[in-house]
Amino acid sequence: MSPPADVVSPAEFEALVRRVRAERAVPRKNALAHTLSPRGEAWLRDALARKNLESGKRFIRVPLAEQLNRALGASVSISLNALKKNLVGLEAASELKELVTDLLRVKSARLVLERGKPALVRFVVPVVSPHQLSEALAAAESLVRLLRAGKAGAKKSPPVGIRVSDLRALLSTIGSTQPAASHDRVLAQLAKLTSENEPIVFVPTLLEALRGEVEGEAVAALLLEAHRSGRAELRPDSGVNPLSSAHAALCPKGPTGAPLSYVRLLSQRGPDHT
Amino acid sequence: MTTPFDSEHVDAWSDDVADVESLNAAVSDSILTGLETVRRDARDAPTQLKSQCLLVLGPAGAGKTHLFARLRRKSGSRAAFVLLRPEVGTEPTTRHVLAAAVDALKHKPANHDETQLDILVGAALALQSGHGARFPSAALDALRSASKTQREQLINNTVDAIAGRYPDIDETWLHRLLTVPTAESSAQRRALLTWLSGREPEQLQLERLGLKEPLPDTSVLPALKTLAIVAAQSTPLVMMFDQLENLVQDDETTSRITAYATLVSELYDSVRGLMILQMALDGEWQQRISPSLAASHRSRLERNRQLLSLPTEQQRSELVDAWTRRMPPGERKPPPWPLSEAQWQVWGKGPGVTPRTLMVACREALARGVAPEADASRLEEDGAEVLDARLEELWQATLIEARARSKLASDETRPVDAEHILGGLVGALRLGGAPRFSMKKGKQPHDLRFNDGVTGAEVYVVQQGNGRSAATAMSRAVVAAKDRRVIAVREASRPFPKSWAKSVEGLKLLQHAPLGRWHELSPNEVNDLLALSGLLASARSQDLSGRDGKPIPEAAVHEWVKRCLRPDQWPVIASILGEKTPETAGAEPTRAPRPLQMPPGDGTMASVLRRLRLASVDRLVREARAVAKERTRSEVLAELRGLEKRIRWFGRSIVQWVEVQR
Repeated sequence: MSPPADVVSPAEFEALVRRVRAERAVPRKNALAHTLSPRGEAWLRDALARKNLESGKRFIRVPLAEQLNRALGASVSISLNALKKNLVGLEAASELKELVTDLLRVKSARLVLERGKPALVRFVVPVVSPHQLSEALAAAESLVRLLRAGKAGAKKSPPVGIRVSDLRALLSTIGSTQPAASHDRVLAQLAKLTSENEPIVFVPTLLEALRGEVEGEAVAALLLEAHRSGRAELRPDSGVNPLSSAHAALCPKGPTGAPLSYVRLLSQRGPDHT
Repeated sequence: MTTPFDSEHVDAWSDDVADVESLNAAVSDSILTGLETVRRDARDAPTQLKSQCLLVLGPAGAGKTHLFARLRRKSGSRAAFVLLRPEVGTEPTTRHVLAAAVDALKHKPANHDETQLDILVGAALALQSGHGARFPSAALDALRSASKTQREQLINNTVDAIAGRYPDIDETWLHRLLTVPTAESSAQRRALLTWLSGREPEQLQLERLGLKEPLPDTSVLPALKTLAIVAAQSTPLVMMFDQLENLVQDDETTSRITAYATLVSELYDSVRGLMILQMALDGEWQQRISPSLAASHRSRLERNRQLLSLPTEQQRSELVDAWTRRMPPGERKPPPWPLSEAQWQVWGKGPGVTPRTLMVACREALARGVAPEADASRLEEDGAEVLDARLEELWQATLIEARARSKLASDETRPVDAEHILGGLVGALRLGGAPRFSMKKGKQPHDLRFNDGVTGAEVYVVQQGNGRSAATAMSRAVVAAKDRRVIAVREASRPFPKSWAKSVEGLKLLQHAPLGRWHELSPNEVNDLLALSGLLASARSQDLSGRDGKPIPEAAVHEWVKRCLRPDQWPVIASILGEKTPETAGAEPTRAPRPLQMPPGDGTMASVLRRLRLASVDRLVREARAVAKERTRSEVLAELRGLEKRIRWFGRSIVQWVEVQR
């Protein structure tokens, strides 16, 4: 048996990277044709990290978050129970819980109810806001009351009916929980631009992303509204290079008139939670 | 008169800081929980002990330094704190980290009389003797009162016990660390600390320790590992890397960011039991630092990222209350005072308000209540003059800090650290119009190199405290001076002793080399360089704010430095750039800035003040001395008093010229 090697040839390393990318995970024991010395292992670990691959005790793999993000991109939702089936190279069961917690924390995904059970969807998928939920619930309760009264009225003599237009009006109230034009569009775009690496969004970047959909001045006004309702936090400019006057003019302003060039989406739990 | 609203920049080492604990509680709680985990693992599960890394981001004035002060206060003696800021002229190394760590251990924990170092050693001894880490002072007293033999035995037992649990520690370094609190004399203590910090002790100090060599390069990381492990059991080391936006280079290269990321990754991977806290401006990190990191670095540095939140309306109200409660009862009123109800609608509910901008708003509201409105409007009209006066004040404050730093080095009988001088040189050269230059990379012998269009030039900062190292640096400079221009600099107050024969010989050779130049830095020059480095770092971090609380743009600070401090005329910079200067080697150089030509007028002060319109007394003294070196401060004050009706005073340090209708 040959002694453990200190190096991996470039060709062998490239082949390994290709294989891991293709299979998402490769068992360590048959990743290479030969064993590596501790020095060789350290080199391999570092080289894999530079390729954004993870090297664990049992597998060399594409990071789980990347695997899951790809899976979420390909399908509409993944039930929590089916999560394991969509991932390759799990080292321990506890990694699943950590993965979900991290994805939720960095706003890469969110949990929704699907047939009464929690499922993961991409964060940009719009969900019903608490306010819209309250409105829909109130409308549903009114509808139930109306239908019961209608059912009882139909048995009376003479029968008492329900106008079709009234029923339609209530049903349309329940069904109208689509994002309300600009306000939700701005927040949805903000959520889309927010990531683990970029937890705050440069306001000019947001404006660029919304170009053609919402006017710049309207965005500034909507961001101020989002600040007042506690959905977003506007932050002062903190880049060393001065903000261009064109960008500064489009940013919302603080009390001293200084441009607020960054915005952070706040979670429902309050500003201390990122 | 000073008010609580005047301290808009928190002193990281202050024990007395107004705090609203709910503000960013999640961030400080996660750090305190992390420290508890480190302590628990260090005692109960040594194999699981690892370092933790946290990145805290926020805009200027959001409370990054405040967070450090809060953690110090809440941890007391249960953690040891180290504050590091990137030097402008050098890439960070493990040796810098060790020096900063040992220096920081000389600070006292919040509301304690013993130093962090004494508590750390006391806790290590107490743990070994089975008394738990809660009574470090008692263990230290026992050590101090023990006989020399008993003391040695106690220390050896402690080293053995720690080495038994953590075989990878450097036992020699640990033994010397544990002897510091019971050093025979203050000279012995200084020698020990110099060696432990990885700096070069003087020959006499080495002899005092019975050693021949400073701490070698190969021992620096093991020393850090040892320090972190010993501390982790009782007082984990919180290593805060602050003002990281200073890693960004103006020429868009990323070598300093990479060097920093490599250093922190190495600390995270190799040193166990550290709490690594990184602080930076959020926008700067996101746009310029993070994209420059390799994936392997990012996975460590950005492993746990926290954003500082801005205060909510309730927290703003609590902040104002906390500040006003520091005033005498007769002078304060209920919140939102000093803001009016109308102002509170803006500052209490408006977007983008940081604790610092809120404090400045309160200060302005308070000042307007006692000062005539006309004066305030007058100051606003004179924006440029006010900015100049403000920068002059900030420069003076930075100079005071620089002098304290020089004095500390002098008290510890060691030279000022070379990297601090180098930081000042880099800043002065950049703003003094130097051609493009490069900083030291790896094991290159020089500290700076630039193309002067002829032979090329190299700068050597020869601040070594040890004869052998100084001789090596000098011989390298002499060799380099054979084919290119070489400028070597050293503090004038630390000349080579005669016993450093090889260094003295090297100096003579350099002075006689046609392309060699030797420049001794006067104490004022050293202070100017240290202060300039600090001022530029603060400007980059947006920590220099005008009277309105807004950060002063870095470009405005650079422009002021070029115009008012004139670094191009500083003797050392002129010397490096190869310009002829009046002074000769060894003579006391002239104090920068150079004299400015005064317009004719009715007396020096009147003409200077008419030109400046608004200036600090310190600035006026400097202007007067630029014209006549012998002028004293009292003479300047007397002349100002003679201008009674032509000037207006703001407090005791700012003077404004008042035009009189003739």
